[in-house]
Amino acid sequence: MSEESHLESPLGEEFEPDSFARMVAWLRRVSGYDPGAEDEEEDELAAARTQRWAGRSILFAAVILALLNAPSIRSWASTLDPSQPSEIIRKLADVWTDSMDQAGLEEPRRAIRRAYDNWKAWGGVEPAQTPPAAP
Amino acid sequence: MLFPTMTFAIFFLFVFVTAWSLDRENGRRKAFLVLASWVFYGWWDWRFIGLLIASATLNFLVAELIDRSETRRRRLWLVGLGVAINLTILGFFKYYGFFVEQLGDVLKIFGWQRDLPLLQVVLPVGISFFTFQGISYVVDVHRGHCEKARSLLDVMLLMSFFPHLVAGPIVRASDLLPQFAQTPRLTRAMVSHAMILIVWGLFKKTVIASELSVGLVDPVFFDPTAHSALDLLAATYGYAAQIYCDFSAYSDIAIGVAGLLGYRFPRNFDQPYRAASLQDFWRRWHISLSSWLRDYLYIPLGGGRGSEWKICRNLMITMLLGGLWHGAAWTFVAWGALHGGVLVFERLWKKFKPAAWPRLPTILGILITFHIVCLSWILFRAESFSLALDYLAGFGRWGPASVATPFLVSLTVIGLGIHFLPSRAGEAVAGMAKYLPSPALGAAAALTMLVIEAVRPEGIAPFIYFQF
Repeated sequence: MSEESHLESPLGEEFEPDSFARMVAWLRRVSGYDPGAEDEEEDELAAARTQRWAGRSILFAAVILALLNAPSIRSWASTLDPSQPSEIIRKLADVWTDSMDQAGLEEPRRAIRRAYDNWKAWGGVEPAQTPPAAP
Repeated sequence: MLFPTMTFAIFFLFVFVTAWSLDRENGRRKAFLVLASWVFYGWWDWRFIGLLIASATLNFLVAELIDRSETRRRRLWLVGLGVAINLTILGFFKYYGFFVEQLGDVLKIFGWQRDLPLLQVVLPVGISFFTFQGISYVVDVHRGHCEKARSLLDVMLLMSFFPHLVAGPIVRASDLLPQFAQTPRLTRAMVSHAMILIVWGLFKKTVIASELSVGLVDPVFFDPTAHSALDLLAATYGYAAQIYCDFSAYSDIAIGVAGLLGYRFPRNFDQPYRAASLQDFWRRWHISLSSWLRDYLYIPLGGGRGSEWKICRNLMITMLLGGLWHGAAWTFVAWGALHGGVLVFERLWKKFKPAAWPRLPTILGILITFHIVCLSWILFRAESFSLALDYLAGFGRWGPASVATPFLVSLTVIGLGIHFLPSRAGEAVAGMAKYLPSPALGAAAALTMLVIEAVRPEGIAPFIYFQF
């Protein structure tokens, strides 16, 4: 970013309190990533490596979400305008949700939801029944 | 297309992959980002893409002419023209109906009732943000704070870039144009912090803001006369938490999304409810707007120069117009007036307070400032003046709480308690996350999002600031 930027960017800062130093040292050992004192941006190869690392991180996140977030995909598919592709997405989402359910992989989500609902009903007061927010 | 939706996730994945595959061709990359931004904007109403193009083209041309002008007088005339064009666009779409209505009321008072030409003008999403960006571009070129854009494409991208297009932050040309000069490069710290901001923003918006909105704030503000003082008090604090979590979530996600594409946006919030004075609050809340108002309105009006009366006048005008910027309604003007009035009071108090009087303890300053801000939020949120007055009158109506459940109160406490986290906790976590192998970082982000998905209510309401 320009040196004359009028406002600081939160993305422009690197902040490592001392208390994290040991954790960071351990993470460096585990990940094998240990940038030198020089700014990593200066190195073309390092920039390409960072780009690949970022791409893989996002890819992993997307794949995990696609695999384990079937109910949300089903809910999204149900909002699509009727068409052949949206019908295929809907059916795939249905099949995938049922398969996940049968494999027991939906159980963690349900457990989290149950705990959250217990919190909602905390103090013996049921929250008012309100319609969902407009999509 | 809302950020916390599957549609946006798919859109962003496509944009991310394509943008980085064009990293050796900056021009094509920018052209692609402009097209993607138009798709993003057209998702609401494709007709206004033309308005975006026209606005960017006009600002580009005016800046070109300013740059080529040799006399100061001509430059001043051109910058005035640029500002007038932007304000005319904003005025027509946002304030036409409001001013015609007010004019009709004034004429009625004098017995000159007329049928004024009322038009049903559709408000383009984000118009307040991109017109302010246009104004800052032409003024900065005039002042020499930034060089004119190298091409129309840069101005198109500056004004249309989808992460900030509909609700800010208001990113200035001097911040963004230099970043467009070459293909950006990612750093691990930037990526890990961007992902943390996105996940954190999703939590604030889809869990805290949505629950508070649906369960507490909306029902109480809809009919304040039907609720007791306890409910009204809880909804006031609830709205303070909701609007912070909603708007700061949008800013966090916008900064994160832009960061993953390699661009840095300025910070827009800095724990605003920790402010010990209203002046301090405006250094922490919607920073890109408050600094915009300071640099393009308050300082040109005279700022802190001149007599005390002139400084107070400048403060009031700035805050009144800042209020009107939020919406064409008197409640917003009153909100601005309240803030302006308190800012003036703070200034006079600082200047004329007897030296022997003790300084207000910081904690007391925080509490007083927070409650003034909460009081002003009632004006900001109420649909009309009469509902705001009903709301205030209701504080004398004692009775049991009907909607303020322990859950919603605790969620409000969490929403406000965020302000007491270490101020750079996100950066600290990012400082560690950047050492993670990519599968670990991806899995950590995905699993956190799955927990958020598991608890959030059905459906996502638009962000509050979309209406502005």
